[in-house]
Amino acid sequence: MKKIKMLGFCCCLFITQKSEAQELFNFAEPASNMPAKSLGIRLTNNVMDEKHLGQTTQQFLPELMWGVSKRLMLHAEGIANNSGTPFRFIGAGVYAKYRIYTQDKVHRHFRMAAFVRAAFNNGHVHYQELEVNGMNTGGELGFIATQLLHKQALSASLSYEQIGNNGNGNTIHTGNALRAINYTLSTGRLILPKQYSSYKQTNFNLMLEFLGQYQPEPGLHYLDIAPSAQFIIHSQTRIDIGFRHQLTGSMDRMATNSAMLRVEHLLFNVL
Amino acid sequence: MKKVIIIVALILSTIQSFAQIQSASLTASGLTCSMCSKSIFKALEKLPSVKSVDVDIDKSVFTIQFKEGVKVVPDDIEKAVTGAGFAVASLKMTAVFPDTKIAKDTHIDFAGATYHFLNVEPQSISGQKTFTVVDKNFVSTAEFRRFKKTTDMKCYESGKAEGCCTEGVAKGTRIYHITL
Repeated sequence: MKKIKMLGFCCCLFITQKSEAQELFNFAEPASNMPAKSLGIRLTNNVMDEKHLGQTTQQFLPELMWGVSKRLMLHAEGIANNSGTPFRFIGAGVYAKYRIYTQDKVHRHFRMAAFVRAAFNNGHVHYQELEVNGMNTGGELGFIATQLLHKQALSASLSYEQIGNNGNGNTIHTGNALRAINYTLSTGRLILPKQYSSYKQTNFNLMLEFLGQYQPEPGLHYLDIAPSAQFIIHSQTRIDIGFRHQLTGSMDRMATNSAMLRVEHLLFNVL
Repeated sequence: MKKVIIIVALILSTIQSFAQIQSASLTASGLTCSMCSKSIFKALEKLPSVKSVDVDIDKSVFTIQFKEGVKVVPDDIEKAVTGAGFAVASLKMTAVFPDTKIAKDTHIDFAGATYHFLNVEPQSISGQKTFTVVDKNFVSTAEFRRFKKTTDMKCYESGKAEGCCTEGVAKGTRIYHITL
């Protein structure tokens, strides 16, 4: 009942707002790319309630982002956490996104992109959840579609994830899935400013996202709700704060509740 | 002799100023956020011909002032916008023209490029005029189709001089298609 009330509150919040939306989602990626010849630095810290170990786990993901061309962007990422150990770097990954379809009109667009992620990880494998972005060695291939309509944004993604054993002898438990289907549905809205007059105005966005995973072989699943807020300072620096809460699920996970704090800074036309 | 040099220099500078695109009003499409707008702003600012850029973020309109004596290349403006991740919805450019007779499908060499007039009545133009670039990637697909119906010349589709261009333009030369 509590979950239904929370979902209802979040939906009402987004339906009743009359201001504008954005698509720089906090938990999922939009189909749009960063500008060509630009660099970005993204520092993400997830604070996770890791009940299995009875601790609050910090997961740190520093990323370097590169807008290679108008269609292609690349990320290189480090992975660190303190899950059952002192805080240390346990892996690294790369992410590429290629825009495959664009239909732009004034104040609206529809875009589609394909993405691929690959990572290695030397951390322990305790859980049934698959997550190449932080927990597992493996790869992910997917597609994203994003619609921006008079400043309202809606985005969905679907991806296939395949993992292998982690490094340092951390093998997958017998019977655990090696493959999963991930899906996301995201929407966002610009709350402030009401009217743009300068790049120096701080933007305030609210986002609501749904993030799910389905493992066909053992038939396990989870679905999370992830409300978040975003501040964009000087049209160049993002500060994201978000929460992720499991609505329904049947698999063992590192955390069913987590908080996210991210700082991202873009350097335009530096390459 | 000094006076002759000064007079020649003045004449040359006058010709130079005639052949100069002075400013442009660019509307970009596909964006709403100020971060997106700023990426276009920064890309435009970096073009060698650009002196300054003013922006109306809400309307996605960029007003560009060009440097004197530096050739303005409309394709560079389009690439700056698409490189930032967006598209050109409209590009209107203002220039000072010498006395020029134009009509539908007139080609003129102006400001370092060849321009082809579409959908205009026969007339003489002189002085400051604003024209709109209507090539592919400068207008919507629907507008491109509409302008395509106004000319039989193949150069509109390719953006380059074809066999249809008989006014001394070498085949393959970039041709910008414009209307008043």
